[in-house]
This record gives sequence, structure tokens and C-alpha cells, in this order.
Amino acid sequence: MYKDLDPLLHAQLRLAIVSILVSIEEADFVFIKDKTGTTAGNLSSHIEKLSQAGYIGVRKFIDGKRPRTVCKITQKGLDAFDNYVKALQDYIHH
Amino acid sequence: MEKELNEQDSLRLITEMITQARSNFQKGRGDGIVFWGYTIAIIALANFVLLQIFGYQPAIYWVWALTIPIFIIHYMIELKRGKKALVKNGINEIIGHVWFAYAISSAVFVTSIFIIGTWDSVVFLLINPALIGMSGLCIYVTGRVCRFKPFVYGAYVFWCGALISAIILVVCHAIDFQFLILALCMIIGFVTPGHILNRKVDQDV
Repeated sequence: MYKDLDPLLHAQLRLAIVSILVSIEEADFVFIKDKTGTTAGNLSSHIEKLSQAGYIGVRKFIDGKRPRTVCKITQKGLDAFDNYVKALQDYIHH
Repeated sequence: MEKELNEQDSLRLITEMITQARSNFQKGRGDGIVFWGYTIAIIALANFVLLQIFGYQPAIYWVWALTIPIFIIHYMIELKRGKKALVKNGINEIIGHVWFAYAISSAVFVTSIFIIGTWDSVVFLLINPALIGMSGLCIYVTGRVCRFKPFVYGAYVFWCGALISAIILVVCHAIDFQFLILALCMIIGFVTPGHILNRKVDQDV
């Protein structure tokens, strides 16, 4: 049924991550974890998949003594999200 | 949170996440507002009290020079806080730029007044109504961009304050009360919305 929908985005957690990132400049791992209500391990694996696909950029650094992971959507990710929403709209209107 | 998505679920999830991310206020977001509100209110009250004690002495107005080191310290603290922020968005940046531009514009305006006239000239009397009115503009923009109504109401307090500040000068022929009005505007239109914002953030986070 959903052959036109991007399988990478058509998963609840990955879609939630990308939806958060399209509306802000960049977000910390902790922020995304809080908003999605998932576990750190689960979130890490999905962020890794999105990052490997080039949909998001991931920046890891040490802030003082604390390791931090900050995610930002890429142009490829924005285009994929745009296409996904258009495909969804087509399903609804047909 | 994995389950089979249908098109309605997907759209609902997208809307929910975008709304949550956009409506997010950083923890301690109102701190800077509350801090500046109290700072300006205290300096304005000090100015009023000094005028009552010493009369119209130009040296009294140097109390406002305190805002320069406070601004520099506060700017450095905000830079540090920005680096530690969990989320960065365009809205926060726009608001930061608006207030930074306001601080520079105010400094340029006050300096220009001092270049044009002496401390007891008519142009000097414009400083309070003009700065209170300009503050109203920035608070209004902050309130509208953040979709946070207490700031919008705060802007109306400032605009009324600017007008009253001009009227009171004509009626009482004294500059003293302008500083009381400024302090009142700061507490009602700035500090109070700042506290409300902090309470809202504490509830949301």
C-alpha cells in the first residue's frame, strides 16, 4: 500500500526525529529523547540509520566533562521529508 | 514507540512533533528577562530616590552607566548558556538579535541626546518616553514570535507607560516621576511575564 513512501521515514521513531529536526535548527540527543519518549539505545540506533542515509548530520563533542550529541537535518533529509509529506497527502486525497 | 503507521498516524505524529519542538521554551529562558527587568527597575528607583535627596544634579544620571558592565557580563553568560542549550532554533536567534539591536540602538540614542543637548535641555526629557516606547516594541515582537501573550500585554503596559511618562512631564513639570513609571513598567510588563514564562517552562519540561 505504501510503496511510494520512503521506508526510512515510514517508521514511527525515525519520522518523529526528522519531524522535530525540520522545525528547529539543531537539537541535542537528550532533547530528542525527551520529546520522543524512547530509550537512549533505541534512539541511538535510529539516529545512526538516518545519519548513514545522509538525512541528518550528527556532531559529537565534549562540553566541559559531558559528552554531547547534537543532530541537525541535512538538505537531503529536508527533501526526503518533503517528498514523504507529499506522498502522504496523495494517499489522503486519492 | 514502534508500531505500524497509517497515513493519519503519520500526519498526526508529524504535527505533534513539530508543535512540540516549536513551542519548546528553554529552561531558564525567562531568567534574562527577569534579571534585566529588576536591574532597570532598581536603577530607575535609585535615580528617583537620588533626585529626591540631591535635587537635579547631572551626576545622578551616571547611575545608568551601571548598565554597561552589567550588559557585558550578561552577554557573556548568555553566550555560554547558548552553547549549552539542548535545542537551537531560529526563533531564539531572532529574539536575541532584536534585543541586542535594541541595546545598541538605546545606547546610540542616549549618546546622540547628550551630543545634541545638555542634561537640562528639552531633548533630554525625551529619553524616558522614547526608551519605554522602544522597549514596548521589542517586548511585542518577543511575545508575537514566541506566541506568548503575557509579553504582548506587557508591550501595551510599556506603550501606555511611554505616553503617561510624556503626559506627567507636562502636568507635573518634573522628570522624577518618569523613573517611577519606568520602574513600574519594568515590574508589570517585563518581570511579571518573565516569571510566568519560567513557571510555564518548569511545567512543560
